[in-house]
Amino acid sequence: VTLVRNDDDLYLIDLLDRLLAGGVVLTGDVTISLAGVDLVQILLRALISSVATLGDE
Amino acid sequence: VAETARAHHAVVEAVWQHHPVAPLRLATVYLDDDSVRALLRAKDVAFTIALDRIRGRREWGVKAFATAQPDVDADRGAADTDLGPGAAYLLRERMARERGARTAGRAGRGRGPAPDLGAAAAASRLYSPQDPQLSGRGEPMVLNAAYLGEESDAATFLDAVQTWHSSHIDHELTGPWVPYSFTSLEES
Repeated sequence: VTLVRNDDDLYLIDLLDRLLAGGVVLTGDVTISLAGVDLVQILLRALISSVATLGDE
Repeated sequence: VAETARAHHAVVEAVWQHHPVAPLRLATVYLDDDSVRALLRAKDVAFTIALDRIRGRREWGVKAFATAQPDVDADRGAADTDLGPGAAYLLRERMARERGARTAGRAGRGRGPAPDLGAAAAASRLYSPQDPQLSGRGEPMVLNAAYLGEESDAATFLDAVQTWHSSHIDHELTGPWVPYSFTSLEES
């Protein structure tokens, strides 16, 4: 088992896992939503996947 | 996004030093203080339950990488006997994935329980494995999970993860984290 010293980039990725999928979600209160899915979340996910794609080029 | 995430996290960490925190998901926006007051009144009980669950606890991240390619067919039967329960679980997961038979329940991000750590963890949560480009490692990630452990007893948790050790699997631990993964409100 390796205890990972929080290298900045890796840390950010793990942090985003938690911030985008964890935390308190208040679906009833989200007004900017489409088919029950929070648009802000979709935008953040889309942005992150495009950053990942950029790395390929 | 990186800046926002860091700023969000800095505030959550700072408050955590003094009180348990149930952070709202990143980019949840309220337009005025009255909306926040109304929310707190409406969800009073749910927030209390969530805060009680994480009080005195910390979250640990456990990632596992397949360092060796086991002979899948030959090891299939042996996987459950020679390896600890944790490693056996990971091998089964990997085999299932390779056959393209990942079940629908597992496909959802951040759903379902992770392999059992017994008394060492009060709760667990499974995340999607990270792409090798993100993890910075060539080996495939076979587990990306979060566990809720006692803040005062990190050693018990670390020992429990240690029992998963096997020659096929390398584990990485991150944390302790503010328990982001365990603050969802139970709808009542």
